[in-house]
Amino acid sequence: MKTLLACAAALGALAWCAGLSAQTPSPGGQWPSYGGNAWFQRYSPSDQINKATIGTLEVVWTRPTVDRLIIDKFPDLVPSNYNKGTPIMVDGVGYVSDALGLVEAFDGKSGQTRWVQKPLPFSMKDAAGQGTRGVAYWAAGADRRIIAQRGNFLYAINADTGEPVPGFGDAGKVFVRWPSSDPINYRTSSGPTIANDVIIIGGVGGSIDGGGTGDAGMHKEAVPENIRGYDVRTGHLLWTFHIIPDEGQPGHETWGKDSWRIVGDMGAWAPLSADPELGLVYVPLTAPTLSYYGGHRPGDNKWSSSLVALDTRTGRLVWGQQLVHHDMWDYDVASPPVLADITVKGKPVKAVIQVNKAGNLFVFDRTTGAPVWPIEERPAPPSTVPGEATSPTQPFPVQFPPIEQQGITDADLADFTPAIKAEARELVSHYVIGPIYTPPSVIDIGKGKLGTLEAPGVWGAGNWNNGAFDPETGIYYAVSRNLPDVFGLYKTGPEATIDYAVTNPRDVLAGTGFKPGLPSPITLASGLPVLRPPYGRISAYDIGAGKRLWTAPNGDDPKVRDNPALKGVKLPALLGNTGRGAPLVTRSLLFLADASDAVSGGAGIHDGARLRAYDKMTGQVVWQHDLPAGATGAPMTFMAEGRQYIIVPVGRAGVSAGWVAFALKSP
Amino acid sequence: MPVPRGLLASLAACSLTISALADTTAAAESARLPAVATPAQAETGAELYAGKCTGCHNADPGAGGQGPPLKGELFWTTWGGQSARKLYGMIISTMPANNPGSLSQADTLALVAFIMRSNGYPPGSNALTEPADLQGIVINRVTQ
Repeated sequence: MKTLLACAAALGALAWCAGLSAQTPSPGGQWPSYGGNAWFQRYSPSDQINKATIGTLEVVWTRPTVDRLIIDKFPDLVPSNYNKGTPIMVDGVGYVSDALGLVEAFDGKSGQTRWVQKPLPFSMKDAAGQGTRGVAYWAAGADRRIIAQRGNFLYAINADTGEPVPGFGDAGKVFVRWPSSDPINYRTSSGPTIANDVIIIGGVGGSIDGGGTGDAGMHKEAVPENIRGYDVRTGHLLWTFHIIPDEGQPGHETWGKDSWRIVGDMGAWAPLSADPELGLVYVPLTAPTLSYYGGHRPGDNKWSSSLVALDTRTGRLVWGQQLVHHDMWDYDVASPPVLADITVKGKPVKAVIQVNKAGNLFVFDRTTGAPVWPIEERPAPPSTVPGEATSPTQPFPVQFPPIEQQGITDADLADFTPAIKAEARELVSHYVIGPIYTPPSVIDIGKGKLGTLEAPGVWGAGNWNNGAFDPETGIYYAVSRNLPDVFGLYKTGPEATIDYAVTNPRDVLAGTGFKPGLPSPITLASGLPVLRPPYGRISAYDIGAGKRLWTAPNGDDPKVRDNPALKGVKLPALLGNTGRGAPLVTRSLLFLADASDAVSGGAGIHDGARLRAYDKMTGQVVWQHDLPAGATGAPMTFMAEGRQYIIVPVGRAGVSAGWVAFALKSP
Repeated sequence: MPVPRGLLASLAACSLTISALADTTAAAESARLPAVATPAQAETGAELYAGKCTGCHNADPGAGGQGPPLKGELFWTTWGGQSARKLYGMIISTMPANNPGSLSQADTLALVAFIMRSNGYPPGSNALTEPADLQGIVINRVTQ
């Protein structure tokens, strides 16, 4: 700490603060961005906790998802157990979005509360809310702010007191919901990004089918959640980037049938990253309505399922790369873009690494958008759904093997025993299977066909949790899961504005009729997954050398391991699981926790979750420790007064959700 | 559109837990469960659910989606042994996900009535009028 303060004094507070949010990985053992740094590398050079010392790592404090100051005031206030927030850490003080979305500040060493953002007015109605994955820090001299999002508002909060910052918007907050007569509220599950004194926000988007999500439903009409930049000092809106290009803008021609006017549900709900030196923000964008049928939107549909780079000061599109054309699988770009300076064939490259739900790993020059490694447009299977306008090709980044299984063949089916394999074959015989980008299909009960079983499924191989980069070794760690879903379509009726909607396979199997729903998984009668393990992986890639180094299961799944149908079956040491665990890489180790089933979608660990440390060069587990519940957010690490801490957000119904801090046992 | 019985039978042996089967069992169990709310209140809850919740939880509350299933095995795994008032608290504190704080007390009680009915709790003659009415009701797993 003394070193940090001396450094700040020497450089001047402004320069120091600029350094905090810039590229240097977690300067001085801090964690100034919820992605570790603005480059979203989830990396720390701290190495007090290493392979030699980790044996004494223990829990040193915990704190609840919401401080008692709030909970005790309202007896019926029950926060979500989906405790998303990864704390940032600045000068030994942690700042995090709690499970109600209120910002809490706490002492890093003890976990004790410093202050809690008070809902205004201090009522039950205004205390209600949901958390985000992170908050942002900004400072100029003595003016130190926490920037956070909650509901329809963007907040600036005094980092020292927790009070609203006067002069920012209306008494410290800015209303960010689109002016619209429809009932769709603004919503984000990630948090704001700051670069070049501009706050940049994405958002989930939404449709009239409710929930702030237009993935399901029967209507094509929806709101695109355009990307916006706000002045960090005043809260004034500086710019808006239209993610569906207006007339005259590049990409407008990719929306046939005038669909650009009505389609939406696109946005950037995954974290953004930024390069303040280049003045660019990198935005991962999602699929449009309807995510599984696009007969009303012929064309590639830019910038859906794309990565775009915007000028931080103006919002101008500098470059864009579409990673899935005419998306019919909800294959969002849902992982944070990770920025990395690498060397390729002897030449330095400023790169951005981008994984998508389809499980592909792309690397672009982050200045120009040019592919660093080749991308081939390869034929994709045509759709059999009437009116659908399949893209004839899809982009394949051929240098790197995908981060997870793509497509399904007979060899992929569960084969613990011959009887299990036979059952899996019988079940899957009712579905269309094939390679990646096999289109969704119409349910035909008479022919016993119930849709397309697709891998990756709707939650994707790579989600918000994905990715960490080690700048010292040039290795990128992808975290994936193998959870196929059924994409079964049905012809809608007059109540719909879209010709085909997707339905839940459960409804089909139960004979309760077709209702709009989400693609969902199927399991064997025993509850076992229909595919072979592993059910999730970690994959290490040397990005500069263009090769995958190793893969390993991402943990274990007690629900599968303890399934009675597997009694007597010899199983691998780790089966992997379908949770969305987020990695943390340090100078010494790679950390990954089993993810909780309290997260959206419900896939993950209910009991028996653990935090594990892996040898980052081999993928071997070197340490593990029980967690009170599975991880619900990404872990982080920091140094305080010479001691390294690791904090993991956890949560599950029935147990106390919150944050768990680890450190080495004191001598 | 109903699924032909022959196909359903063949799939039932190798598929997800069939909700119809669970419903049958639940109906048999419901006689031993306490009455919660009134039929009208549960129906109001069903209408609210259809309007505000299906985007994430699916039209069938047992199916789940972006939000967790609110009926059946996974619901009991999560909520079994906990008080119905806590369920009320979770809903009014965090839902709907795109507008927490927008549900009134009456709407939230109706949603709880609907969820309890969906899980085999029979409606009775006393409407829920305040959260305290749920205080003594423990969400019990229906034996399968």
